[in-house]
Order: sequence, then C-alpha cells, then structure tokens
Amino acid sequence: MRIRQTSSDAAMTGLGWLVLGLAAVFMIAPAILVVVLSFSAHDKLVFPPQHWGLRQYDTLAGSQYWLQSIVMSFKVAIPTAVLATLIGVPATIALERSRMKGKAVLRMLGIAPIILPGAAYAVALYLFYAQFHILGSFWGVVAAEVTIAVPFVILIVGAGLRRISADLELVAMSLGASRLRATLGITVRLLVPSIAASLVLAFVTVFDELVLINFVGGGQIITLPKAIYDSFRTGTEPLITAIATLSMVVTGMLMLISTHWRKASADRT
Amino acid sequence: MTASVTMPVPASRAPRDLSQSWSAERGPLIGLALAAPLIVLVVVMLLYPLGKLISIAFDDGDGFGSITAFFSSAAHIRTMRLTFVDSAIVTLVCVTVGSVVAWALHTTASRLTKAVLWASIILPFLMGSVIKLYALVVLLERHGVINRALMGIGITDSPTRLLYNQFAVVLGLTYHMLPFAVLPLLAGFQTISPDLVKAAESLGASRAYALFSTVLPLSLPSMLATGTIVYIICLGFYLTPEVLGGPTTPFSSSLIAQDVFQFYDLKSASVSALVLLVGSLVVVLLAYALVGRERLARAVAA
Repeated sequence: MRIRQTSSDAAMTGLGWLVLGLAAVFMIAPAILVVVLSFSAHDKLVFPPQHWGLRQYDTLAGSQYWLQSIVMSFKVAIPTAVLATLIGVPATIALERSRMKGKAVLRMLGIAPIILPGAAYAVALYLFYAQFHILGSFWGVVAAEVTIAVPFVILIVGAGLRRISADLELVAMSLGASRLRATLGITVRLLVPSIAASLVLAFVTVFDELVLINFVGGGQIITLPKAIYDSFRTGTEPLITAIATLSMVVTGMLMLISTHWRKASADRT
Repeated sequence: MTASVTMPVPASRAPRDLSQSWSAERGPLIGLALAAPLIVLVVVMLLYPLGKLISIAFDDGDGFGSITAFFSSAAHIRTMRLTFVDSAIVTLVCVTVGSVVAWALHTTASRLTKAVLWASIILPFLMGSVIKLYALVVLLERHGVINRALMGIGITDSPTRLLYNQFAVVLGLTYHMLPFAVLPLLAGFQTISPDLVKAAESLGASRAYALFSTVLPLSLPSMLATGTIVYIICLGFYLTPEVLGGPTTPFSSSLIAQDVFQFYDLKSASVSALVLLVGSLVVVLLAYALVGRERLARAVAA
C-alpha cells in the first residue's frame, strides 16, 4: 500500500535526520578528536597538528607520576571489584531467592549509592571518615568504592538470576543434592557469566570514579581520574590524549568481553 | 469399664516438614546470613553517614534554624535554582534527542545508520567521565578547536568565550547523560511495533500526528522514568559543573565541595547536601507516583 507523502511529512523526516546527524556528530567528534590528537608530535595541543608521531605515548611511558596514578587505579579497582562481588552475589541470591523479610528495602538501600546525588553522598562519607580519622586511607577509599560497585552487582546478577529457573535447584535436590550443593552446582554455576560481567563493570566503574576519591581520598590517593582532574588546573596536558586513547581501547575490549559473557549466560538458560 | 487403647506413635518417624526443604526459596535465616555482608555495608557505609549528615545539619539546637538560614541566603537560592533549572534543560534535551535516536535505532533498516548511532552512544561511554571533560575542554577552550575553526573560516575575529559558563555546563551534562537516556528509552520502544505508525498513516494521519498519537502515549511512562533518572543524576553532578562551569555558575554540588575544601564549614556543607538529597527524593517520589516502581527500576537497570 502506498502512503501519501505530504510536505509536512517530508519536513518531519528531514527534521528527524537533522537531529540524528547533529547528535551523532556531537557524540562522536570529541572521542575522535582525542584519538587524532594523541598522534600529534607537539608539546602543546595544536589543531590541526602539523607533525605526527608517538611523542605523547613516549612522554607517558617516561612519566613516573602518570604511571603511578595508573597503578593506583588498578590497586583500588581490583580489590573493590572482588569485594563487591563477594558481598553482592550472596546478597542477590538472598534478595531473589529467599523468604527473608524486608527484601525490597534492602534492595533499595543497596542500590541507593548510585542514585543519590554524588556530592551529597560523598560529603556524608567525608563526615563519617573525618570522625574516625580515616580520610586518605587506602582501605577507606576501597570501602567507599565498594558501596558504588555493589549496586551494579545487584542489578546485573539479579537480572541473570531471574533468567535461571528456580526449579533447576529443586530438580537437583530431588536427585539427592543438598541445598548447598544445588546452589553452588546449579545456580551459581549458571550465574558465572553474569558474575564475571558484573565484575568487569564494577571494575570499569571504579577505575573511572572520581567524586568519592576526591572527597575521602584526602589528596593522597591519586588515581588516574584524580590525576587528570588535578591537571585541569594547569591547562590541557597533551599526554592525556594518549591515556584517553589507551583507556578507550582497553575499556572497549572489557565491555565486549562482558557483553559476550552476559549473552552467553542468556543463551545457556 | 472400658479398656482404653492408645496407639503408640512411632517416635522415630516424625513427618518431615516438606514445605521447608522443598521450597524453591531459601528460609528467612539463610537469606539473612547470605545478605549479612550487604546489611553491614548498608548500615556502616550508607545509613550511619547519612545519619551523621542529618545530625550535623541540625546541630545548633534550634532545629530548623540552619535550614531557614540556608534558604535566606541569596547565593544559595541562586545556586539551587541554577542546579534545578539547568538539570531540567539537560533532561529535556536528553529525553527529546534520546527518543529520536532510540526510535531511529528501533526502526531503521540501514546497517550504516545503526552502526553510526551505536557508535555515538558507546564512544562517549568508553571515554569515562573525566576524559569526556578533557575532550570538551580541548574543544571549547579559548584557543581550542572550535574557536580556531570559527576564526579560520572567518565567522569571528577573536575567540568566543565558550567555556566557564552555563552553556558549557549544559553541553557537558548533555554529552554525559545522552547515552544513559538512549538505553532505557530504547528498551521502552522495543515493545512498540513500528507498524503502528504505518497503520495510523494509512488511515490518513500525517507522519507527525501518527507518531504523536501512537508512539508517544505508549512510550510516555518510559520517557518519564528515563527523565527522572537523568534529572536526579544531573542534580547531583559535581565534576562537570566544576570543570566546565567555573566559579560564576556554581552547581549545588560545587557549593558543597567549596564549603568542605575551602571554608571548612562542614555544617553548611551538610545543610546543602541535605537540601539536595531531599530535593532528589521529592523528584523520585513524584516519578514513583506517576509511573510506578517497576518502570523506574527498569530505567535504572538499563
């Protein structure tokens, strides 16, 4: 069937394409710009660059300050992601598969740290840390980061758990398995891809986190985002383009792996 | 005389409580044990600090004195208004543009369009929050890319001030939030068949009327849910206004940070934080009443 095209329809379609085009340019251009600039050979940001090379990457490889900040980010993000998983996975099983009272409230409180206004929550933690003199302590920072990594575990593992039939555990138990064995052997095993995906997302989130570090890190815990943030005071440091390019590549690969795992878990159940 | 005969109950064979051992759900105690670490985390890292914040905000004994003092300061009112208005602008742009992008992703048959649109959602996400700010500063700086381009093609002679104003803050927040708006909107659209629009058009509706009379009402709840999430995340934003806005356009979060790090006025910071928390809570409750918990939860999850 042919649908009559009026001029207003054409205008509507045109407007739609215009919005899409502008949105795409607006969203993609900054990323491409940073990648392109990372291959310029100038000691200041110049656009368009006249000379090309790996100068930014060389400077980065030779800078103790920046390398140490990257190491610090790993040092914070890895234990945080592991702790968040250890706390979040059993709790999610309890939230989804038990007759515990107050599940809805606990779930809401567990997710709250990523929904509360960042600075308001950060200042609450600041007051708490100041009272116990743990501002700037490494494990204090990790504990703060755990609270914003756990919500991702609850959301992702919860979604994964809802796709796994609860009856599978019962089948295992009717065949003689104990509750513990059925939980570990069936449910947790089927959950492994979701758990891995949430581990990766928690890691990426914490690696990128800055608000809480800024408040409770006491200026001593300098992670990569904190180092970049501090550099804004002195202008636009060109070697950040190299960091940006590398971190986009790594984050992209991690996200691909994690999506693959989540898809795998959806296919298996 | 009657002989009473009692049947002995075999003590060794008490009936097993099957309802307990064969339920798909674990008992309350096991649940509690599994959730214990999370409960400890929530109490120590969330409830106690928030309680501390509230007690410091109401410290001075006259109860609401600090709150009234907060609202009688013109600077505070200005900051709060700026925060709530700018966040509303960003939310409106994100939901509108995000809807167009999500609808195009849902309906387009072109692989190229799909690829470009997905790239425009994923690339900013990959950069991370701080590097996004860096990229925007490089673009908007006084001698940045856009100013050079504008002067290069002769639109302006001297650099335009693009950074450290309200425009830069709204732009930066939109840049950050747009991908987070598209995903839940797309999830909402996925339940709506594009054939509905064709059906409406075949019955004589114009393209615009067809979209507004079929897709809009069906997706309104998911738009409201998405808008709520975007709005409350914007309200609490700290880094973007701090870096792109500069001192003349403070967001409420910058106010809090300033109180903590420059004036060491923890009481004032607590009051600002409390106002911000209550403001966001009101927004969430309004949305809750409008669209319900399920949809809101789905918008968070996506």
